[in-house]
Amino acid sequence: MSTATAFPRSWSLRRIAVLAVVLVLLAVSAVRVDVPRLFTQAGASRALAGMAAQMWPLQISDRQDVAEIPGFDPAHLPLFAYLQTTDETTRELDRDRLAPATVRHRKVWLVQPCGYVTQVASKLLETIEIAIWGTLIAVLLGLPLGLAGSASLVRSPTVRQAARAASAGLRAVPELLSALVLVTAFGFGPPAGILALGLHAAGFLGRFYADAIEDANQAPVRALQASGAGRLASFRFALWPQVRAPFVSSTFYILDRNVRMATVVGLVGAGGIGQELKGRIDMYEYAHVGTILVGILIVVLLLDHVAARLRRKKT
Amino acid sequence: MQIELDRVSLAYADKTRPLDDLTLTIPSGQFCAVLGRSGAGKSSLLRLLGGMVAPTGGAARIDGMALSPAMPRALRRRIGQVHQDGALVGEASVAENIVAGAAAAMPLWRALIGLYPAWTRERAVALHLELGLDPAFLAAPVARLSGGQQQRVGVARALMLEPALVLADEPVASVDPDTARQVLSVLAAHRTRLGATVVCALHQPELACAFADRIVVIDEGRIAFDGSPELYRRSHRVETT
Repeated sequence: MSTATAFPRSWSLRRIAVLAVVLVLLAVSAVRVDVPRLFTQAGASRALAGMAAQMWPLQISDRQDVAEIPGFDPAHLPLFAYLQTTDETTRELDRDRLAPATVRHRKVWLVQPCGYVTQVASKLLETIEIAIWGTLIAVLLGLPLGLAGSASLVRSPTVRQAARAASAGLRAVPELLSALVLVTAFGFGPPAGILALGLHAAGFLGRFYADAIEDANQAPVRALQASGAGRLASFRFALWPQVRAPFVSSTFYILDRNVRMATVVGLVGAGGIGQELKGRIDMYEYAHVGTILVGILIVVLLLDHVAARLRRKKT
Repeated sequence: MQIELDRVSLAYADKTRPLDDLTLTIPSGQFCAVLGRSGAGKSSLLRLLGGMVAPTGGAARIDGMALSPAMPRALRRRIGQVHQDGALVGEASVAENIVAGAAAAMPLWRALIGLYPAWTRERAVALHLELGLDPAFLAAPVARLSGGQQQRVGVARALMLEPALVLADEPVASVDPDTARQVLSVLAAHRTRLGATVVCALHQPELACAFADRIVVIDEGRIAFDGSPELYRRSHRVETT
């Protein structure tokens, strides 16, 4: 019993000291960024609850003043649409008597029962289209960057480092930031969003593609080049079969990511559902906001499902 | 193609000298088997002949032109190489791997979209069958084949462009004796048909004696034996099978 085997010491003063320092730093930072307000501000939860309450019922239909529709033809209404007439009374100045008078206005509205839902659906489709075009640009830019950035294909380290630096530079600029700048160049609407998504994602794909090529088995490349094949031909035969699967899966990842980001760049005016969302929030039209949020949720969930299925198919 | 090695040596940065002062002339049309223990320098010799490495000393020439990693592509096209590790693409089909041997001779656009010229497709299938591979394998990924089957795919790829020089590094290392004879017969037939030079590293002396017209034994980077199969048999007592 005298030489009992001791359990190895499982703690050290250093570990405890590091933990204490981290806790102190967190405490200092909490005061700096006002963390306690997260828990004490009762108004915040009330405001959120109020906003949520105003989102219900969701905005389904759409109503437009016929007088504001250029070239309106009552004989040819859109599908399921009907006309609604309202009488409004307002107090206005009677110019003849120079006295206030009650005036009745008759207004004709074009009501489309599912008008707003259709509008949101079309904006969501536009968002997905922005994401697809952004991905296409990303592939077109990322592919040459990836090929130029891989040691298997490019012997000059200068070219390789330049390509890798270009990819890193593109990745470093967030989509939202470049969208903000591009909107001033291209104006409001999808083109700015497409380019912003494409440039940022090209940085990712350039990196992913280059890494996939370098991870591939290089022996067949050397074998083909030894028997006189050119660089592109040996890429096609020796590398492409190896990198096809990683290329496809990283491109799908970028598409998935771009659909999410396409809603965000819309907030700064780069087209899609985000632009619609920002407009409705600014006008306090929370029922419309609710419809948009439900729409985004459905698209993102669907996309998740589709992406997962595609990935399962690949493996 | 005639190979001339004049006092060639090969030294690596880690001070190993796989080839040491080696002089060897292989005339055009000869089937030369290279024997030797593992690590004796057989693979290094074949890598040197294939222009994968440059000699660090002496002169290596092929039809009078210097052998080096920088040798022109037109010359490389005339050399078919069977690599020891196969150097195949496991994810690609057997057919694609074989047709890749003609990559240097087909238009790039055809290669890129996979619309390979008819002669390359026909030749790939013919070689596949000639080497005794099951036709059902053509569309299967190479990774699904056994080691010996993969080696035969490597041989088929090397013969795609009807090379004037075939360098084979242990092409029958992991196949059964019957298949080994079949593979070596294909190489021998290729030599006979086109008058090509064949340099083949082997582990099995009996196969070397059966197929080669000349046997070179390498030991520690030097030539330990150089002569006809008959001479080799007499001095090494090879059992003929």
